[in-house]
Amino acid sequence: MPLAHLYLERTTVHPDAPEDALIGRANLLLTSRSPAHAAQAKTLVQSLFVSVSAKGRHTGQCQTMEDLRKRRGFGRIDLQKSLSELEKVPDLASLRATWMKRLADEGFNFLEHTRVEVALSELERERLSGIASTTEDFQATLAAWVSQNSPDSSLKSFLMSGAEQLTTQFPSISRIRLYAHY
Amino acid sequence: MKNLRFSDIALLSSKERKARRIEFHPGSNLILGLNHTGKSTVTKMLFETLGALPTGKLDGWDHTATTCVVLSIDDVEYRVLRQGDHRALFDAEGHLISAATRSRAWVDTFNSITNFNLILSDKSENTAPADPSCFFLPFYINQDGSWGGTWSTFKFLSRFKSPTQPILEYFSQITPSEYYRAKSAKDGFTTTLAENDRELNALRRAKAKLSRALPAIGPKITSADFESEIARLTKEINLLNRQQEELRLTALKQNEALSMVKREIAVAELTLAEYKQDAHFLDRRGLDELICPTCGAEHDESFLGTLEYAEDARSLESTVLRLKASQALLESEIEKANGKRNELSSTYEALDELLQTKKGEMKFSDIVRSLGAGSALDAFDAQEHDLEDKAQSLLSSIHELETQMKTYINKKRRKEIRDRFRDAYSNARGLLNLPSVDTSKYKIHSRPDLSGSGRPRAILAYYAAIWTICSPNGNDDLQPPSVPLVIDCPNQQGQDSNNLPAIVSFLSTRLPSHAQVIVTFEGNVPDKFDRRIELSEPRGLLRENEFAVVSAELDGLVAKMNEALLLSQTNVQP
Repeated sequence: MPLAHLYLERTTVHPDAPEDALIGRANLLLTSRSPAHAAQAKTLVQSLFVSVSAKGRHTGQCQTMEDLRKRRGFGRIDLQKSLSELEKVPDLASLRATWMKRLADEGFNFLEHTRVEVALSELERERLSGIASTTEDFQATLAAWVSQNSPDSSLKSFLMSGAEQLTTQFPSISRIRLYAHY
Repeated sequence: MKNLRFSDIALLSSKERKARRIEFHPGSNLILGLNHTGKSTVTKMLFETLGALPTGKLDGWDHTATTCVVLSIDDVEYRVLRQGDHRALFDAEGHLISAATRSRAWVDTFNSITNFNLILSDKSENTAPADPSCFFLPFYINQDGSWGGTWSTFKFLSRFKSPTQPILEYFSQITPSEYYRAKSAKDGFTTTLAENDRELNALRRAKAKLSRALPAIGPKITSADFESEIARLTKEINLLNRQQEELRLTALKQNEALSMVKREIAVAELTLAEYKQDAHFLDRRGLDELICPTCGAEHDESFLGTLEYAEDARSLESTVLRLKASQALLESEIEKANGKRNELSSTYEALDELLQTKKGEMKFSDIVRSLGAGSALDAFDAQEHDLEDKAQSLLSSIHELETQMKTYINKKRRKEIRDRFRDAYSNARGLLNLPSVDTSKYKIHSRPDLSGSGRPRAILAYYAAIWTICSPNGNDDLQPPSVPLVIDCPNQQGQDSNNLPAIVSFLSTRLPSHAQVIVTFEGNVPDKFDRRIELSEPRGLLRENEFAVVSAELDGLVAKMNEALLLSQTNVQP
């Protein structure tokens, strides 16, 4: 590989949070390549660290350059694959933030709005902890309803009619939590 | 006859990532182990899970641990889950029956499945249902509170007024629970009557004072000159009331929302901290060798999976940030509402000014006072009449309850049970190498209070006699159930080589044959027990290798409990 392709730059890296230095760079890269995923720079960097740091920990000796590349290398093609994977993960955090703002703009009662935020946080928390809080039946019914309806004109009406539809079938789930599920 | 049996207990410490499951035989169980191996922890946790808090501290125990007791009542199996102050009852298939955060709500659940219907009086003479501590009191000898001369097995029993006698009489059926229900109601009425009398006396004194002062107020003053002021006063007061009500409602809703937001932020931050630990673990191990540190299972984790995991955390972080913004907004709204409340005080000042309005020599407040003084005497008369009526009605209720209580006292049955108790106590003393004493005057609720090595044997003989008379017989559904007998650790006060074997042999062969028995002991013994549970490692009750299995089993139950508790909070409309 021609050495001219190597570019070195000195930067300050905190030993406990090495990824912080890279998030800005990743954001620039994503802004130019996949603007819809630019907000996910932190996610990309954290996941890359998992892949790359493991490769640096192999301590067995390599006999050939090819062996070294295969066992410890992370190159352009690997990065491109990672970026393609990222494009498969929708930026739900931004979508949720946009929806919550839209709800507030549509005059959704502030206290109700706060309760929906709390319910949303509970759902995200359960998902992160790997707790399945709803049945597959519920998920399928929800997905079917969403595929047939869209929140074009009013998000508030979309949520209210969706919750009304599901509450008869799943009476144990509160109305606020149903809003959060959408 | 109803039978309550402990089937097993699961203990799970997420902090230490350790767990333990212990199964019990429906007959006799011997928990063996040297000091600090966790014998008392197991027995104490059985009761703590069920809502009865034993006295004594557990050194080094993770008090945030989750515990789950599987028990059966006749052939119906239940699971009771406890995490902090939260408790939930599940059926055998893990369907949630009930969840509670407040102890009173849990008491109702516990009492309904055990048919425990004893009513006691609390310190303020209010009737209160007996709780799980009362339920287990006669059947658990706690190492830290039961081997002495007082009933100190559980904490917080003192909130009831003299509970021991009714509890023992309830389980031994000397006096049926209906007697205590009537007595508790009667005590409540007696207290209300005393309060009623005090109020009546105070009212009569006030009325006499007012009658003496009334001539000094002089002739009645007409209110015609103050019509506009009266109209304005009425309007202002109505406005003030409306504003106050609106502010009160708003403050209530805002404070509820604020505490809900704060609670969720705290829990979400804990989840994110756990995620960071997991992410750090992944950093160290990499994707190609993802092996669970707890259970050793190998996971096929893709880069996409890691991306989704990190993305879930980022999404939660973003929601937490929005929640913090909502928290700040709520705090500022609450502050504004407080400011508005202060503004109301100026309205009060305006009203005061209005009362100072003068027309000629008369103040508006004189009019109000004059009108009030005249009608005050009428009001006093009416109230005195009401209180006298109430006293009459209370007296007749008390009399009715006293008559009812007499019908529940069966002297013949009382004597039979007392005789059985005294015989059983005398026999047990003999078997436990204690000198023979005259037991003909012994009362069921009086614990022996000896000193020296004879004390634990006398206490054991006393409990054994209690268990003899508390053994249910017949098929009466209203009868109290048979409760497991738990003896934490009979080797007290340096028993010698004659007495210690006598104690163990007594526990192995002389306790009621139908009862489930759980005994803890330091050393091995040759006597027959249906199951021996050995705890071998000091401070090693919980084990790393059981964490994954127990955690998988309890996590689902915890999630159901928390969801139910949260729903019950969210569904309370302000």
